Amino acid sequence: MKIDLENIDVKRIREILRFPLVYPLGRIFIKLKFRKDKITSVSYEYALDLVKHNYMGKNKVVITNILMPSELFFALNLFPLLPEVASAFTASIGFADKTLFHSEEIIYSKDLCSVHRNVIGLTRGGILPNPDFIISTSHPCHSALHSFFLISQFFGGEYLPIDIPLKNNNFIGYTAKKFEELFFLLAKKLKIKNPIYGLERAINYSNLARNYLVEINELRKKYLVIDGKNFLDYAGMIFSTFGSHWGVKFFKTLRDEIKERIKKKKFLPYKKRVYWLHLGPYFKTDFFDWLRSKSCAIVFEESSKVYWDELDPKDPFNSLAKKVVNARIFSDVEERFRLALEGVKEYGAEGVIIFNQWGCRQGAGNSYILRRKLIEKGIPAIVIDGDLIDKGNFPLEQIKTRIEAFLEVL
Amino acid sequence: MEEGKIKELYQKIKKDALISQRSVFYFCAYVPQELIYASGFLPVRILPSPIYFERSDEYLPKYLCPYLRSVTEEILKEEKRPEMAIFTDGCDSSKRIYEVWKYLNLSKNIYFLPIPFGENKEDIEYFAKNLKDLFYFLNKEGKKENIFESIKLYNLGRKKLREFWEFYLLFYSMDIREFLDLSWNSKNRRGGKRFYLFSTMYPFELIEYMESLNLDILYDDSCFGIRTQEEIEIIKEDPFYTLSYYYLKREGCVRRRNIKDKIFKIKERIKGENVSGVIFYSLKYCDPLLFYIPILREELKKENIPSLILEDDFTMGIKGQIRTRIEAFLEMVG
Repeated sequence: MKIDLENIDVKRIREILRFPLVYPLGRIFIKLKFRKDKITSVSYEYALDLVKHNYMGKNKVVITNILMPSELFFALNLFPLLPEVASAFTASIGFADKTLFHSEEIIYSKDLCSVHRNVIGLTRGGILPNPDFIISTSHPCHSALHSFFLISQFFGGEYLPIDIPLKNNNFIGYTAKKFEELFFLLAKKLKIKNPIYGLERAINYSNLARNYLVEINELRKKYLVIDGKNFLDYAGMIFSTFGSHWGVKFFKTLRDEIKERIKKKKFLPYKKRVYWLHLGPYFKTDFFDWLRSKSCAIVFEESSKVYWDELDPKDPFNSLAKKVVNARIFSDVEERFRLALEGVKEYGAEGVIIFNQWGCRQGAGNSYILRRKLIEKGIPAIVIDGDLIDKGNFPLEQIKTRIEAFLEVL
Repeated sequence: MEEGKIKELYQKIKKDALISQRSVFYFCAYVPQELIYASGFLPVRILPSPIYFERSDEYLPKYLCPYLRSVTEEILKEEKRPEMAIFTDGCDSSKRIYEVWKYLNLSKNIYFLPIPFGENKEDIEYFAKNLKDLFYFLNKEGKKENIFESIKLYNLGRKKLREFWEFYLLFYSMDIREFLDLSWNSKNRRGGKRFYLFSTMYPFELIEYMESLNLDILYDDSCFGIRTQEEIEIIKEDPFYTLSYYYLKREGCVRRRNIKDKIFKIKERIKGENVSGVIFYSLKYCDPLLFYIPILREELKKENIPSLILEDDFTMGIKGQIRTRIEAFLEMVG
């Protein structure tokens, strides 16, 4: 069945999503449709639960950005909605053209990050629910702070920014205090009497999920059974589900699937191995199929790195502050350089592809010197100037030509 | 001092600063001049002339801040290494361009000053700590008592600047004592159409060009414009806390979330001034501004204050556009 995205009636769909029956039926449909693909099945079941919590009109809606610890929200029985992830998802189903167009009714400039332009379009078009709470950290980028503030001004919602200092352990307490104050403020507003109990549960779930992801990353060092392109898609689960049972379920399923493929010797046959920095295009494109047709696999990617220690249930706010303040991904040039070196060494990559998101000052800003630093170390590296959401900013054929030449160097 | 001489004098200050061991370059209005001056250095704000990007393109994607790219281009072309430069995390571009400067070793000392978005007590303390680190980085033997003296001088400068804002270029770049000694002729308003300019950074040549069109910028609401002219009140014995409080709480930057306050101030300023409208100089790729303008514009609409957006990348490649659009705008507002 092909859905006509151009003429989709958002209002009608939002009405349908208020019926409780939709969800058990949806779950049955997902289970049947993806019975052979457990990873996709779990991720869609999670998405369905996310929709249920945020679109039925019974719960408070919190929107947040990718590096904000989701544990704090799951602890309070909130189901955090990450507009940046929603932006990527809608691009993957071909909906972004329409929502980017919607965004132009509010923001006139196309020079802004398309992820956030799309977030505004999604809110403007009624596809994202109007939020009750809008919470964003200043890391990895300021775009979320700015675009979320704009959403709060146009569509409502209490705006609560969280400053993340630069990597400096002297300021862990500063961030921990902010998390603690936010947590208890939300608990008070939600009238939750013993929120710490929920936080313990969320921390435990988070650690379990983390352990599975660590195991997955270890397996990937030895075996190439799933291309990194899939992991670029799983980034949304990494950003969204820690602290919930969904995170545990998803990463356990993924770990089991990898083990199963190793057991059955389903190794990928690609000869060239690259490490991927930043995220990748989420709209429909044959780019990754083409890359595989050139016998090139992505063996690891920046977004899958487990950069934080196990969280301490007895010291949750400090643990979470350390997780965010010391985040190594999407970070400064030195940290990304070290990440790339580790990636190349640990995963046997022969070269590095640095993907630039159009308009992403923080991600792309250091890419040219990062490439130079890698080349100085004798590691072939290439920068692709593209876009995660807006296919108009992704000159496919030009990129293919450049990558082809790059692969010859490997 | 004649108004026409400002640019000439500024260019000389900038040229001297490039080779002076006492100069500290800064680019963001959150960097306290008072602190730099009290440490024994001279704060010099760099404002490049419109420039064609050639050498910086090798290191910086084109969608980073055109103002900081222009500064980088100018430094690369001059082939001089200034003594010191201070970057901030006022925006994402600044964070990354700081890294490029470090990589290329474009200045002998390069410092990074983090700024919080928050304005609560703990944020003020956090920023105060960052300012203290900066002060002792500039001068290990620095005496913090000097900061109060410096605050006094800069307050006098701000007072003077309120009367003659055209001299802002000098206020942010020359020795404050010399600035206070300057005598100047009062500017005669040209009687052209009056506007309120809103931006983050703009080239000086924008004002020159607008004046050549007989347009009068009555208020400059940009990073280094009228927002920065409030005087500093000593609120604590700790000078770092005092400065931190002032810089985080003043009208300040588009990073601040004081929309209602901003609208109130704009209305207050233009009341009875016969201002034709607000002109937004929309600096390309400037995220804080590009996300802020739609909100502000919406609020201006509610107040029936007309506004016009001019997009440029600090190269002034839009001269023709400015003329045409302003003519159309004037026809519209009558």
